[in-house]
This record gives sequence, structure tokens and C-alpha cells, in this order.
Amino acid sequence: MQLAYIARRFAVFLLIVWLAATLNFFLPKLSGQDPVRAKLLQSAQLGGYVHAGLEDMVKEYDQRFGLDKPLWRQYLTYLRDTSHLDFNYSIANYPRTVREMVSEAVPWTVGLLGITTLLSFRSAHCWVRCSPGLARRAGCAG
Amino acid sequence: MSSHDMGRRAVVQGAAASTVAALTPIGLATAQPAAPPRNKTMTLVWGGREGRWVDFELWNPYSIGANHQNGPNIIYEPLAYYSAFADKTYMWLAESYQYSPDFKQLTIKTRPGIAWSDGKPFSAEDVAYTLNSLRELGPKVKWGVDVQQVVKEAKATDANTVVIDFVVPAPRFFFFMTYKYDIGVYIVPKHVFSGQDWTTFKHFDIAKGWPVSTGPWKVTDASLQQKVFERRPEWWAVKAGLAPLPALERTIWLPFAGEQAAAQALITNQLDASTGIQPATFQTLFRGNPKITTHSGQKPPFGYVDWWPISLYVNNEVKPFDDKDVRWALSHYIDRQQLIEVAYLGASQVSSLPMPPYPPLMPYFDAVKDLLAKYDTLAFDPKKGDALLSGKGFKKEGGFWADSQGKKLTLDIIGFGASGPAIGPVLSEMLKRRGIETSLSIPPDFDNRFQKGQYVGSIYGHGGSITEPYSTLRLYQGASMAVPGAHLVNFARWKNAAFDKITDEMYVTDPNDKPKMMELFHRAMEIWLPELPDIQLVQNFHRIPMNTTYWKNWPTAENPYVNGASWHLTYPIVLWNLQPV
Repeated sequence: MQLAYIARRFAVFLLIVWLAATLNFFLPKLSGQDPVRAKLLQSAQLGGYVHAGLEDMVKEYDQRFGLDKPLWRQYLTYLRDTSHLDFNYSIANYPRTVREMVSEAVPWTVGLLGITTLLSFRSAHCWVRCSPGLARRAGCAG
Repeated sequence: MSSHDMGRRAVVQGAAASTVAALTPIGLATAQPAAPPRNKTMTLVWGGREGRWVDFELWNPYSIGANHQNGPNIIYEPLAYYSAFADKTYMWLAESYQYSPDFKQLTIKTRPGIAWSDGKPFSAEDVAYTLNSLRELGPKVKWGVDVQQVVKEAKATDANTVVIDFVVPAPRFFFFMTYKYDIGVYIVPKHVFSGQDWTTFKHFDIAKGWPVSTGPWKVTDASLQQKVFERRPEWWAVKAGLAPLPALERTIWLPFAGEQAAAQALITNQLDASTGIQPATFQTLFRGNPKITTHSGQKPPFGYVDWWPISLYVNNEVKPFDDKDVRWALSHYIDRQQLIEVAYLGASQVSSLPMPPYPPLMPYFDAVKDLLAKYDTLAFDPKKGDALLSGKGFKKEGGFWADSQGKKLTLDIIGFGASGPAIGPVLSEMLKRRGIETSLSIPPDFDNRFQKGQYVGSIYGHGGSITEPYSTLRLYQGASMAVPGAHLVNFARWKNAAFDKITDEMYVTDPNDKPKMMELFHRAMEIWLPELPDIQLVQNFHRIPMNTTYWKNWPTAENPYVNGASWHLTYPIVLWNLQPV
């Protein structure tokens, strides 16, 4: 019974992760923008000069990032890489890898979240203890 | 302090008080251990993304993620500098150069006695290595295609001689490599870059002394908040007698975090130079700190003419703007003086041709005076505009022009950056009042749409000529036979085979052959002006407030040794010219 419950919960967890990953993949595609072209043009705009080989550069990096492949294939590659926690390069911050950026942020996110959770737990605990009625109902009077 | 620690600190600061951090980057960032005194430090604000240097680890300027404007411009020295304001070339890592008579070979003599910051000698090998790598890498890196198109091979024949063979005559190649504005080839140290993947190599490790440079600056701190450069007293150029040792010992570059923060920091003397100040804010700046000046002093236009004259582009492939008479009608409907008065509070200038009125280009402006008298690109003449549209079968109904089918003459304009929101609304209203159904938008994917030709009207500039007109003419070429595999800009999507041929002829002409250049330019303008592929509007201005509390000898109209943009490749010239007050 308990095993079936855990299996069901795990299946729901996988479904949610898959849905989130799928949305994460398709939502940026809806904008219709080519991220490589946007990145190169942003740089050209700052310099006021469009490099002679802009189109070749777009092709080169589309190929490098697999953006020249059909969408279904990009999606499958993305799911495979994501399941291995391989997020490849950040196009916006190239040549930094997404893993590099996430690993810098994770300890702080976890730390802040952890502290917040502990503090809120502690505050709630104090509040319950200080409210005799609540404490009785929660079964932790005394 | 490691960059990693700085990254963490940024996250904490951002989570704790992102608004405060955004408004007070100056106070946060100038707290440096063992900093030289304030009067030995020059602090400026420029660029960044959302108030952060997201590229702080990236000092290899060839990577597509890098931007030389954010610091590499003062790290990598060039073969030569060129100041368009002074019309002066400063031979730098190169001592001299010589083309073969057919311009298919270039021999460069590099200076002896130059060393990289890690002590290794600089030599012709570094130049040959840089060029050959660019040729091999092509579209993988910046400038790769430009080099690949023309360079067959670069050889270091001795420690101070590089011989470059071209596949086509290339009389402008040395100038292409020369630093001016945002164009120039960065010479990299072969002993560091060799064996590295140029597309991902960052060239950043402060403990190892990276980035390695021949210049007078070393990076001592780079983080999301700031980039700090310290002076290298052992700079070779001092011994060579080419430049004085910079008087400033440290320069701190902070990312732009909003006009208000920058203005306050300038007024309170925390900043020495900045960007992102609008014309309307300058009077406040001068009142708050009378020591603030600009290129034009404390008078409008509060800056200098950039190399990027602004136009109203119309897509020449979209009807009815494929018709030159319709384009000319639009031109006649625009009151450029009013545009300047309203959009820039009078702090701008009109632009008659798509190149800036820089001293070396003035003879070319003079050469087409006769044509400009006939085809006045600045004329405000609504009646002539009306006549042109009527001549094309348009009729005015209900205050708007419509074609014979009753379809309104509609112009949807897109814009971006500072120019779109400044000019766009005024221009749009001006054209509406003359009967053109005009709309304006500032789309986030402006660049993509503009570059792909997915637009009808657009406000944009011209990154073309500085010394002679070839680079501007090239912007309008529809096809090129002279440059094999050439990639063309042609934002206006205008096509004219005779114009293309003249531009190709100019490409193989020695730019120093002035009579031939003038003749070709005149012939090209005989085609271009009647056609008017895009509609000339105003000059683009760089409005840079410069603080004279601690530093003097900034470049100004009275002292125009170079333009004062910290993001341009010539900024090292400013840094060695600044003097303490």
C-alpha cells in the first residue's frame, strides 16, 4: 500500500518535472526569435557596425548549439541532456555554461531558503507554544 | 577577493536589497582595499546589463560573447590607432607598413623592444598568428570572416616583419586592423592563445596575470559590480617615447545602473565620466556640479558627432516605398529643425549624407555640393512632397493619402535604443500631419526584424565611413564582385547594379588616390541621391559628461585629440592624456 503510494507520488513528480521542462523548452520558441542572431545583433548594435560575416556566424553557432536541427530533435536532445543535468552553454552569457551559473547561485538559494524555512518553523513553533488554545489542539501543550 | 566571492556577494545583495543596490552601485563598488587616493583614480560608468557586468570573466575579445567596449579595448593594443577628430594615425605596435603596387601584399614592420605583461617579448609572430587564426576560424569568432575573405596567409619573416598575402587587392586592410571607433583587429599573445579554443577561452585569471597585455593596464579585479584596472609602470611605450605614463594609477569601470544614479554620482564627484545622460539632464548636472563639462563645454549639443548618422529607413522592397518619388515625398515632409527642437531640445544637428562630417570626409561632402544643391536631402518642402505623391496617383481623402484603390499610405516605423524613443514620436506625428498613416513601435526583436528586412520603416544609423567614403557606399551594395563571398549589409534593401559596380571599383582603389576617389564618389552619388534609398535625418551624438574636479585634459571641441567614448578602441589615448587637476 505504502509502496504503491510512493510509486504514484514519484510518477506525479516525474510528470511535473517533464511538464516544466517541456514548457521551459517551448515557451522561448514561441517568440520566434533566433537567440544566436539576437545575441550577435545585440553586439553589432552596441558597436554600430554589422560584421561582414554575421550570417555565417549565425549558421556556425546555430549548428554548434543544435539549433539547425528539426524542433522535435532539439526537444529530444534537450530532454536527454537535461536528464543528465547537462545544460550546455548559456547563449546570453556565452561562453559561460548554465551549470557554472547555476552552481554559483544554488548554495545561496538553498542557504536563503533554508534559513527562511528554519526561521519560519521556529516562529510558528513559538507562536503555537505561546497560544495555549492552539497548543492544546496541536497536542503540544506544556 | 575572487570573482566567485564577488558573484556570491552580488546574489546576497540582490536578494536583500535589489532596488538599493541598483540605485547605489557607485557607493558599493568604490570600496577597494589599498586603493590609490581619489585624485589618482578615474571612475567611469558605462554599459553592463541591468546594472551588472555579466561578462566580467571574459577578456578574450574574439569570443562571440565578448565585447571589447567593456574593457578589452584598453588591454589589447593595436598595430595603429586612428583619431578621426585629429585626422591622425598613431603607429603603435607597428612601426611602418608598405603595400605592394597591386595591393595584394602588405609588409608590416613591428617595433622592437615591446614585451607582454608576463615578460614574454612581443613579436611579428604574434601578429601573423592572430591573422592566420582569424582566417582559419572564420565565422567562429569576431572579425574572422572579414579576415578570411581577403587574407591568404600571414608570415613572420623575422622578429619584426610580417608579410601578408591577400587573395584580392586589399588597399584598406591596414586601416581595417587599425583601432578607430569600434573597428580594429586585437593582436593577441601567441604563447597564451595558442592551443586554446578561441570560441570559449576566457583569458581571465588574475592570479596568473591574465589577461596578458602589452598595454599600460592590468586587470586587478573584475566582478559583476566593477572592473578595476591598475597602471603598469613598465609599459614599453614610455621607453619608446610614444606616450607618457598615464597620470592616473587606477581606473574603475562601473556598469550603468540608471541615469539618476549616474547623475547623482557625477554631482557628488564619485564619478569622473559617464554615459546615458539625456540632453534635458545636462543643465541639472551643470547646476549641481559646475566642474562637469562635455565635448561642447556646457553648451548644446553637449557632445560630439558620432560616426553613426541617423536615417528613416524604408524597406525598398515594400510597395509603395520601392518608388523613389515616395521616398523623396517623405523626405520633403520632414522638418528636421523641428525634429531637433522637440526631440533633442535643440541639442543635435541635421545630417545630409549617411556619413559623419569628419575632417577627412569634408572634401567628399564638398565634391557633391552640386548634387546636393539639386537633390537637397534636408529640404522641408511639403508642397513638393504633395506634388510627388499626386504624381504617383495618390489622393488625399479625409486628411490622409490613399492610392487609386483607396488604400491609405501607411508607414509602420520601428525603432530601438535611444534614437527610436527620442525621434520616433515626433517623426511619426510630423508624417501623420502630412497625411501619412504612421505608427511607431519599439519592438524587443528590433535587430532581428531590421536585419532580416521584416520592417516597413525604421529609425537606424550608419556604421560606415570615417576617413573616405568606401565603407558608407558598401552599406548600400546589393552585390559585390570585388570581394569574393562578400556579405552585404544593405539594410535599405535597395538594389542598383551600376552603383554596386562603382563601389567595387572603389574597393580596389587606393584610398590615397584622392582624384580617383572623388570621381568615383561623385559617380556613386549621381545614382544614390536621386534614388534616396533612406531618408536622412540627424547626426547621432555621444553626450559624455566629464568631471574636471580631479582630471583635466579631457578631449573636447577645443582640444579634439580623439573622441571621448570609453567604449571605443581609441580610449587608451584619453587615458594617457588625462592630467590631475
